[in-house]
Amino acid sequence: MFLAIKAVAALGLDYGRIPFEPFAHYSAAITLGATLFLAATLLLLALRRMFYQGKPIGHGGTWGCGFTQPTARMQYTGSSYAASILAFFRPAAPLEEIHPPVAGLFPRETHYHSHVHDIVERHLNCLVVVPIVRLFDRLRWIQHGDIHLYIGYILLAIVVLLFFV
Amino acid sequence: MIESVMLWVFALVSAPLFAGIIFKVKAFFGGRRGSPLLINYYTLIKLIKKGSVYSSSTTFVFKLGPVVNLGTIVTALFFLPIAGHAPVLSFNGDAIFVLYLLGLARFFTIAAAMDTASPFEGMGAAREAYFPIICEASIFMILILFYRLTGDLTLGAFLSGGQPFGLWQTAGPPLLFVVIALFIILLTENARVPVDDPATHLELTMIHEVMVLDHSGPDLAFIEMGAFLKLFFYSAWIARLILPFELAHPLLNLLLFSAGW
Repeated sequence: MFLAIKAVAALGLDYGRIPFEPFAHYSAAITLGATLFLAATLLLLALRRMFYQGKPIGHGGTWGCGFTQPTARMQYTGSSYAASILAFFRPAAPLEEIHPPVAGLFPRETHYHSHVHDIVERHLNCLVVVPIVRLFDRLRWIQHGDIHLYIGYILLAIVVLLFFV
Repeated sequence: MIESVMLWVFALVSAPLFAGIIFKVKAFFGGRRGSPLLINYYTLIKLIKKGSVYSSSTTFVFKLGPVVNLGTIVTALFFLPIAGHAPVLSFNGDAIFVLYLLGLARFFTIAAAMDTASPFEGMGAAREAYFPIICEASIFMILILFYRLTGDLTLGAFLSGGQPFGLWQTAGPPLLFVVIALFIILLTENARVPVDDPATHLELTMIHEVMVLDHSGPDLAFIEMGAFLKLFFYSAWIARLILPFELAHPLLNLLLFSAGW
């Protein structure tokens, strides 16, 4: 890629102002680092294979502290995973929880529902979309359907443009 | 160069010892005799000698986690100036590269934890994803400060030679806060006492330990080794800032200090 850039730069098309050299250095250095990491990982994989040579390898259920028969309803879900992060970013990601409090000693049934609102979606509508729609509603009279007046608009536009262009 | 490589090897070999010193100091302040200094080496050897039990719900991601974890931190140590010597490798921007390497390690640890399908490990993974959000932001603030001071973005430029001493002279007060912040980051990243307690075995209170519950044998040894090296990485960083003098190995002093916590 850098060969191509050099070739283009030689044509003198004024692309030379963009300093490619530092980027070339960065990407070369990052590639070197990544290669090192890959080499280290491969080496460790080989080491791991060596360590496991002739070792007993068992299989069993996930360790669960007596938690032996989970169902899909009991799983740790994506929203549980994100819960603490969402709590921290609550101002930016308003979380709505619908959870009626349980009543009585033997509550029959309850439900829990949570939804993270998109702050952009929420505020874009009331702050931007609604005012603009209202404004254009007010300007509806311009679009009246009279073809003669539309031609008049075009003429007016051309006359106005004559002053500026 | 040879010196730097030797120091890198020294870091790899001595990291478990420093973690052992922390144990010892903790035991001392707790009024106990504590485990022997070389306890971590014994643990590593014991773990390597063992076989493993894998959960039937895990895939190759679970096995890849420990290897990538150790691989990243070993690579990150290449860029760390140890005890004031130039690092083995250095390029402009390597500080950011190293932080992202550690981020990669975190990603794989979390992925491995999630791979077990255990809710406990999911909780640990959630915390592991949550705390570094705050830590990384503060580390990047520190990097910005260092960049403003030195005009460079390499760990070598911040920490090697007489550089930290110069930093103290030009910007002492902010550097004091940097040291405090880095120390808190060290405690968080390495799952140490006020944030996490590596000694508890109550899954609900743990962060790092709970994520490695299902690892065993050599895999666990890799994870432990990665944790020791990570501790070394952060403490070498702070040690250079606290003791910017041209001593042989200021690391020792720091680890004693950090363990008193």
